[in-house]
Parts: sequence; structure tokens; C-alpha cells
Amino acid sequence: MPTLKNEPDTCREYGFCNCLECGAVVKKDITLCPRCHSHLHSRKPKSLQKSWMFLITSIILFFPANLLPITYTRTIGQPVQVDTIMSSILFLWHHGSYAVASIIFVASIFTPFFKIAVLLYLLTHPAPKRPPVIQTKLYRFIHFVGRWSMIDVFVVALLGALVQNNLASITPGAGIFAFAAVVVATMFATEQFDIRILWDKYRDYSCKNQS
Amino acid sequence: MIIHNRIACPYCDTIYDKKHLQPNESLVCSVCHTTIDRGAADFRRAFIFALTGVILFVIANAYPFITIELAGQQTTITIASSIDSLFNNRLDILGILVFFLIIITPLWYLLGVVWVVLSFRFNIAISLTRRFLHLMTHLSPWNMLEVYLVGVLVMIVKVMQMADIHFDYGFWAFSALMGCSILANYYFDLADAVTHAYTEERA
Repeated sequence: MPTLKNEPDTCREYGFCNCLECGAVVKKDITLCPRCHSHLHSRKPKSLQKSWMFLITSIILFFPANLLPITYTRTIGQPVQVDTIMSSILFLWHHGSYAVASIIFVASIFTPFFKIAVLLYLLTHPAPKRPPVIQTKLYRFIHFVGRWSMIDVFVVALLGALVQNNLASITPGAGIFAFAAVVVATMFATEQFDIRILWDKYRDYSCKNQS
Repeated sequence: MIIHNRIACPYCDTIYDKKHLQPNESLVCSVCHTTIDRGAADFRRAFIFALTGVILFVIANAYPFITIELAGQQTTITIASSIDSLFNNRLDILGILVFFLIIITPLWYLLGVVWVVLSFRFNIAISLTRRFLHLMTHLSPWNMLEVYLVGVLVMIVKVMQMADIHFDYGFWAFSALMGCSILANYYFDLADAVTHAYTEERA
């Protein structure tokens, strides 16, 4: 293999295509992977548009998710207690459950916010001047961490089922629906984004500077 | 058509020569530091844990999950009734989503591992197995057993102040199931299994 540059070469430069489904390296001119029959693309098709679409959806839904109530707690002799995500975290914090309050804060507020911020950063800075190693790490991190935001949805579903008698009852609210939609939309946005675009742009840039 | 002696990094598209990995070796991309191939797959262990997981899954869903005692009244829930509460509160789509995340996907995944390992062992219906493997690749981020268990723990802390909580068989089965599922996932490396499914044919 003729390697003139220090760095190893890419699949694309060789005119090959990496099948993300089965890991086969295939010649580029065919559209179906001969091994697993999935559609072949050198880069995920329209990844930026699709990723923007899901990201904007999740940003819009982020507001109702955090502002609408997630639970209504009815206790005999007391007015109905309406909780949003933040107020339920503060409630736990004031009652001394610091660990659980922190877990929910990280899972329900920090993680979705962080994911949206990272995706915005990746989508608006697609032409890095240094090797996008940190970007790749961030991308892989938000890919890994996405599922954990669903904790609150499960908590509300369980509470709604368990606390159901004539003395006290908890009813799930519309906020939790918006919240689940935010989590799902950010997961799709992450899935659709193709980090290799950043590497392509960086390689173009370093090629131009060398010559 | 397929360049058999090459492997490419899915994150930065760098191309490498394929090498057969020893059990404790892994292939790490030198450009973006992503682990491309762990070489950790141990299908026999994965099979054992997945089969145990399937049995525990049945137990966890068949028996009561948690009982709480609130002002003298007892409420017992199962995993299914915790999903049902979402339907009762007119959050049907959310109910379907949760049903998908904690019942369908985990069960599908565990059964998938069992099926794939059996099919490798006895060399039957490999093409069906490949279909299975591709579906599993797409479904793996939606397997939320661990997340559900953390949700249960958080819920317990929330309710603890106003009610007494008893853990039933379902809860213990579910905790063990989660352990089995994590171990099965660890030993059953999807990428390795996919490679295996396609190299058998050529050999």
C-alpha cells in the first residue's frame, strides 16, 4: 500500500465504501452490499438535514418538557400538587435525598441539554482545523449516554401505577410525554449524524495546506 | 466486490489491514482512538447468560413486582401494570413506547442471542440469522432494562417517605435479569457476531 502521508488512508480515497451494517469494505460503484444486502453509502445520505430536523424538533419540545407538569399528586385534605421535572428534583433535594436528586438532575436536565448542545456544536462547526478527535469522543459519548435520560419516564409510569388509592394518587402529566419525545428525537438526531463528515473536511483542509 | 483483507473505522473512515485478533487483543483506530474490534466475543457464555435471562424475564413479568403499603392500603404492581397506568391516563403513545423499550426490545434481544448462537453451533438457517443480527444492531440502543431498574430505585426513594415498600419475587428476578442481560451483551459482541455470520459461508 503506497503511504506517502504519515496518516493511514481512508476508505473513500481508495474508492471503497464501508458497510455500517456488516463491516464489509466494498468497492464504491455498487449500491447494495453484496454481503448483507443493505444499501451502501459512502456517507450517511442527507445526514446533516435529517440530523438538523430531529435536533430542531427536540429543541422545540425541550420547552414543554421542562415547563409542563409531569405529575399531579392528590392527597386527601391538601390541594393538588403539580410537579415539573425541576420542581420534583428540588423537592427531593429539600427532603435530603441528595444522591437521587443529583441522579435525576444529571439524567433529565443535564444530559438532554448537553446532547442538544453537542449536536448544535457539531452541526455548526463542520470544518475543524485540527483532527476532530474530541468531537468524535463527544459524539460517541452522547451516543452512549442517550438512553439514560429515560429514567424519569419510567419513574413517572411506576409512580402512577403504585400510588393509586383513595388517600393519595399520582397522575402522569403531559410534560412527561414531551420529555420522552425530546429523548427519542435526540437519539434519532445522534443516529442520523455522520461524524465522518468532520474528518473529510479536516482532511481536505490539511491537504490544501500541505500543497 | 468485497475487499476481504481490509477493515475500516466507522467513525473516521480510516482503512486498515484486517488481522485475526487474539482473545485479549483489540483493534483501536490510531486516528480517532475508537475501538473498532474488541475480540471479546465468547458465544458460549453469551448463550448461557441469555438463556438464563429469558427464564428470568418470564419470572419477572409473571410475578408481582413491588408492593407498597400506604395508610393501611396495599397496592401491588407488576411490570405490565406500571405500563398500563400510562394507558389509563390517556398517554397511549407513551405507553406503547415504554412497552417497546422494556418488554419487546429486551426480550427480542435475549431471544436473538439464543437463536444466533444456536444457529452458529448447528449451522442452521444462517441467512435468517443475518436478518436477526441486522435488526439487533438497530435495536440495541433501545434496550433499556438497566435504565428501567435505575428508574425503579429512584421511584422507591421518592415513595419511601410516605409508604412502606416490599420487594416481591418479580423485582429480584428483574435485578438478576439485568445482570444477565449486561453480561450477555458483553460476551456477545454484535460486530464479531456479524463478522462470524458472514465468514462461515466463505470457509
